[in-house]
Amino acid sequence: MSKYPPWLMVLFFWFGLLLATPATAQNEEPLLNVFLSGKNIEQASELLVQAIGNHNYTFVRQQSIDSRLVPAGLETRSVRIIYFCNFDLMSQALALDTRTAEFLPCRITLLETGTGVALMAVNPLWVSNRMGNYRLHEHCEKVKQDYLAIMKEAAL
Amino acid sequence: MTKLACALLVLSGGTLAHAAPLTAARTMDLPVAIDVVTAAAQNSGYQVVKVQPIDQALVKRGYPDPGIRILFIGKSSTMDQAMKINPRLLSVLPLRLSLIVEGKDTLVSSDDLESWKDMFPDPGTARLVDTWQRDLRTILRDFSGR
Repeated sequence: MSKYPPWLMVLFFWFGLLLATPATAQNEEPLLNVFLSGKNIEQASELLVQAIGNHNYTFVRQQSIDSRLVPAGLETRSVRIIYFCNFDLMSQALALDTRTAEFLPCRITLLETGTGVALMAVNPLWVSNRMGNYRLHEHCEKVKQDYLAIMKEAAL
Repeated sequence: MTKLACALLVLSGGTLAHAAPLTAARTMDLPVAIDVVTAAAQNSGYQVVKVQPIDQALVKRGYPDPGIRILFIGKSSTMDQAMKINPRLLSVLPLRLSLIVEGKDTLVSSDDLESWKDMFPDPGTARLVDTWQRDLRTILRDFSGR
């Protein structure tokens, strides 16, 4: 017989289950960042679109962050968004959990500074961790690695 | 023993505290829901920047219909505010609403912005996120007809 009362055994079991969930997800940063030094936003966009294609994703569109919010021609030039997608991954993710629409399609925000262009993307693993669906972990880990690979290739 | 149990409960609670996005549901089909959300967004000073028909894009390529569309909404001041207060917030703009078909209902769900306050706890970021959340709440309340 165990020396612990049954309720505490249940608690131990429950806590063990929690510990068994992917540990890395707990430590995720909300943003994935890569800096393209010495580039302007046009060059960075071109490099990023190439890298997206090289990683089996489809370029969807790019737009200024205030596109359709200000008169045409007056959009901000220093902040741009590039949308892209892998339809196979997207279909799988939505089948697992419709809340993954929160990070679909993929998007990277480009912010031009005086020394280069910052690339920022919301970390899908950080989002899925908040959702608490362990089945999404593997999928979101892949998408996160793809984001990083695409951004790093653009920065090469 | 009791202390250990309490500590485990506290730790478990922290781990299980999954944030929830703002949601609203209404009995209507997807195209009508898009019109109603668009009007609700406009009532709060937001413009629909893009309707992303990911359902149609998937079906066209032979995948099952997930019954989901994404609406991106914004107003020009949101970008200026994010740029000034915390440029990292630019990565959640334009704000996103997911429209999900559930039987005869359409569920509208916003991105979960609450967690951004935990990650960037400075007062300026918190105020800005609170403003966006308040706007999203108003839009969803408007959509649900309450």
